[in-house]
Amino acid sequence: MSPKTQSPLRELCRGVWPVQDPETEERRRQQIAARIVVQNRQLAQRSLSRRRQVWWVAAAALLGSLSLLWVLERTPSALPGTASQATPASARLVAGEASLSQQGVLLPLGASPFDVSGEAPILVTRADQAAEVRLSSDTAVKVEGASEVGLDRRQTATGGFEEHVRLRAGSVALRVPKLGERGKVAVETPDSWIEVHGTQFSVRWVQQAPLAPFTEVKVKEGKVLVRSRDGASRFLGAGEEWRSSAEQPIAAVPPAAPSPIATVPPAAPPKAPAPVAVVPEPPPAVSASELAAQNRLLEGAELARKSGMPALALERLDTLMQRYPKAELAHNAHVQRFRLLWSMGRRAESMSAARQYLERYPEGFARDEAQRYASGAEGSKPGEMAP
Amino acid sequence: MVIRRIQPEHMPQTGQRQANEVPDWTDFELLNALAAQDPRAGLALYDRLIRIVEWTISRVMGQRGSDHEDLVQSAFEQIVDSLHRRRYARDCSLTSWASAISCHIALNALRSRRRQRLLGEKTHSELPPARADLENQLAARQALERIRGELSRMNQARAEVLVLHEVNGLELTEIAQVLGISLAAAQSRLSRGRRELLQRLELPNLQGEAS
Repeated sequence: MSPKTQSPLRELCRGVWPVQDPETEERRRQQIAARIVVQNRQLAQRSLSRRRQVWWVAAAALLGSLSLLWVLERTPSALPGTASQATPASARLVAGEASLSQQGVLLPLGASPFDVSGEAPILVTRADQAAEVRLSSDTAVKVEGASEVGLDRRQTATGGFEEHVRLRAGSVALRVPKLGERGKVAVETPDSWIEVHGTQFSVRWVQQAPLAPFTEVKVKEGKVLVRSRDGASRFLGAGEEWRSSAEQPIAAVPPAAPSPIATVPPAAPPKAPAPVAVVPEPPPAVSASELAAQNRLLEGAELARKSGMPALALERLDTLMQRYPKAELAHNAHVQRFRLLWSMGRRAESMSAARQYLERYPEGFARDEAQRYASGAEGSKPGEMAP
Repeated sequence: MVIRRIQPEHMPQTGQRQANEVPDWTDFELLNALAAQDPRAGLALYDRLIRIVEWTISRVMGQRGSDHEDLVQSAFEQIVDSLHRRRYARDCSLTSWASAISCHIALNALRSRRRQRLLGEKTHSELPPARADLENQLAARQALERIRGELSRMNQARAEVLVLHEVNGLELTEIAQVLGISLAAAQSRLSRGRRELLQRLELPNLQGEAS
């Protein structure tokens, strides 16, 4: 240490120690000691109260967490993402009427929930019925008349769930709430897959006799992902429509009937005017919605017959013929009706129906077959349907 | 010059104080008594620390001024508070801990006093001497005042280490413990503090100017 710096500081140590008189010193001693005791007590109390506060907060947080867990346990639908996982795989009818086809037996559907896991039943609506079903994920499925819908729910490996609506016939409209990342709802038709993430849309499986069946999707809100069987996929926004295929006919459309008025070569000399042939009245114009309804009825009848529900099939055919007696598809319905009655063992009714067909359509495409049915000699295999 | 460590000394016995009034606790026992709210702990702490507290404050501040009692009181409050906050790590003695706190309070007061002087407050050192034979005393006092003035202008961390070492006689290891710094840092502060003080004292007296 340099003496220059050492000495000045050490100078501070010199000097006279101030001495107070003992009484003043003792008074100060008692005073400061008392303040030390008071301050010590105050600090201890403050520390204790702070520690109590921490304990209370910790206890409250623990209690709150336990309560929240208990509430979540008791009300699984409180949180969309997690709750859906815990809900059972069930659905329930919330409006309308429908039936459940289970192993060939058609049972009217009540308000109680029904299981949609494993061997899921098929929801069937008659032509004059409509129903709304609520799935476990709170998805609303509106099933139109003459529809056939399979419902299926399964757990995924990641702990989520998938709900599938398998549309086999008719039309459904869905309103899907916001699901968590682990939830998914999809509609499956024979040729398409529509994946949903919180939206409103409808799907229709169109089986229009001369055309190849196709899927029609209309989106009201949100966005859906549609994927056709060939792998092509696209997103549909609100207001957009999509069809799985262009309206390509399955078979070539039969050539139009030759015009009753023969074309005359320009070089031929004019002849006396030929009598004007009676042009048959063209079938009345059918609106798209009517055509769709007719299709649904005919498809529903076919599905019901294939599902082992001939009575329901017969009912649908009768409905079609009563509502649309002049429709093109009524022709098919007549043919199917006498075939169906024969297969059901109601031969007298089948013969009567075949005679009615021959009276109504003397030149119909199933004339020969109808004659065999009318004579009581079955001419075709039971249950064979018209093309 | 030999610097002697300040050891706790018992205050002279008075008629009012009984010999067995305050137990002869160790530092550890005294801290336990404080934690247990023992009513004797206040007196025991006072007796243990008053000498070092008063010594430090008196040496840094100079003569016992009007604020001396307040500073002593403040030092004890700080000590009790720091003990409650468990800042005292028990690595050093209570007296060393108390001397560090007292030094800190005294240096703060010294700086505060300097700022008040800058605002125009007159001090006794600036008073003209009344008699010629007091000139020597006055010069010595002025020298001490200058040292204190430079201490108040110095970097406080260095000044603290310097005072604790040069005035209170603490070892560097103790200084490191009570200040919660490394030994190297204490050594560095001491060295730089000495150099800084020397440079300041070699300069013309700039008392009254802001540093």
